[in-house]
Amino acid sequence: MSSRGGLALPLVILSALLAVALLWVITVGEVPIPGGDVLGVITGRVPASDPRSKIVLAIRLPRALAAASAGAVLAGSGVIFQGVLLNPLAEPYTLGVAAGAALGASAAITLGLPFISAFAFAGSIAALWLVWLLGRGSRGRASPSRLILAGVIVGSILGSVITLMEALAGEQVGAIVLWLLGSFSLSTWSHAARSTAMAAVVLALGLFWARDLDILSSGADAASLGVDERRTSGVLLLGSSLATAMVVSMSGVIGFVGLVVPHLVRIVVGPAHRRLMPLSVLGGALLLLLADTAARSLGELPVGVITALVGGPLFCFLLWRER
Amino acid sequence: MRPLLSLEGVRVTLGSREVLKKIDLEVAAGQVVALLGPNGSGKSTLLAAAAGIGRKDAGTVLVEGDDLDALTRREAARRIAVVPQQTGFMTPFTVMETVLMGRFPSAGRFSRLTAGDRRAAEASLEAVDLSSFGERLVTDLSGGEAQRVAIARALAQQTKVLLLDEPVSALDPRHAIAVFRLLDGLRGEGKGILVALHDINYALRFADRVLFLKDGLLLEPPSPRAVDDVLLAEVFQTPWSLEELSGGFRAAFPLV
Repeated sequence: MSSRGGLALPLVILSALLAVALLWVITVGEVPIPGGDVLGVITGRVPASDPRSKIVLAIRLPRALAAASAGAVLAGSGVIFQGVLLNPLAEPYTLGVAAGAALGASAAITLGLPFISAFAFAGSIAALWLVWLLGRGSRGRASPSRLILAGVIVGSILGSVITLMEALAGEQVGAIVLWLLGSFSLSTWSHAARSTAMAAVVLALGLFWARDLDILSSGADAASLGVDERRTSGVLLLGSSLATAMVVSMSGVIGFVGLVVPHLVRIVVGPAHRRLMPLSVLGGALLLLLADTAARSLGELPVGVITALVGGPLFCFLLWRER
Repeated sequence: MRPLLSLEGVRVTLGSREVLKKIDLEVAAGQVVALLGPNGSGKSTLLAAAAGIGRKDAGTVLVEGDDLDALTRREAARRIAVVPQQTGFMTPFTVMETVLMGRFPSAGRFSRLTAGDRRAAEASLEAVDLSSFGERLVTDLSGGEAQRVAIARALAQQTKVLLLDEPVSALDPRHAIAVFRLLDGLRGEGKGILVALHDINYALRFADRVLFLKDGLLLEPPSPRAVDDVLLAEVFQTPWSLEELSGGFRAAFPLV
């Protein structure tokens, strides 16, 4: 069953699909705007004063870019967490890292503190550390099932703390839903720019350490193959936690992207990170872009509901298939 | 001549137990050194400390004359290869992808693996009789096949020093003997080989030197010929018999 394609063909196909999807989702909405007009706005043929121009440039394009790059970050972080922790179920959501970030961010917002992203980062690192402490086996290396158990438990505790905090602070229900299930309804160009930068960081981490990730994820004693395990794992986990935290601080917790996308990509191209990483980043972007569009079309549902509805059953199928 | 690998006063404590008390050991180029000892005597701990991948509380390990602790992990992996007791293959990489990981320490981070790297991997697979297995998934292999893949990966590192932790424990006699013939060949190439074994007969037959690990200390008889039932009984705490076979070989077996 080792059908391992190259990188080029899937890369071209996914990039093309992503480009088409980006264009298409901008045409969709309360005010339908034909694809030709969208291109006209982007190339400047439609004047800036035109309402279509405002809708595309101020609302739909930044939102589409924010969603796509957030998907790239979540899927890329999933690849890194899975590789470093030697655990196919690891991702920001199952590890409680996303919930930690959300708690940090909502604490900062509730208390009216600045630097929300910094609090989100602190929260994500604290959650990861806690999960690691609870989940690691006796011999230093994490035991896969313990780690995920710890992640799910820590994640749900943090989720309830967020709910409690926001309920006590008298926030609207909508704000709580944003943190717990994610939404891109408030995305701006600044959000799009920041999460695109984070997507670049995650991709760079994954490609720079692709061979180390191969060795770590193979189950080998990585040190004997030249991997400085402590340093490499540290950099990779901190980097992907930071990227996750930035994204979560803007759009809330979105599950399953980091789980489902790398699994699907592995089925097509195998586990080598040189291929897995770039394709997962593109696949994550595509998936979350489409999920957000669905959420938007269904009357601003939280996007996490869509990813869970699509990703959950899909993941069940993958689990069943890999028995 | 300077030894390829030397351990000086190596001490390892695990929990409250001093597993290795004071280990002094040299492995020269062109030597196959067998390490024997009962379960839990610290053979794996010794190999891990010698490779710089395990705990070491005191002492020095020199590789080709350089302090192992002063080398980067990549540099160390270009000088010492390790065949672990448990292969631990968990992810469905192909056999070829896995063996090529042995080339990573000497490849640049971004440079593609060269035809030379690929040839080295192919030669390593051939050496363990797995030439046709390149595209198989390591997660689908039998225990013995997986063990040979781990050996091939270590060979692909093309190091001067090779440390093997019970490399034949999952192998049938034919493949076990093939591995020892392989070590014979590597000895001829001037490598220094330290191999932990359970089977005393393989050690008596193939090793240049036989070391026994007992109570955290090494015992070395003057030569493999000097291994006798008294020494074996002392190390393994059970009576042994040694029989002379035709052709000058000897066979050891525990008395029941």
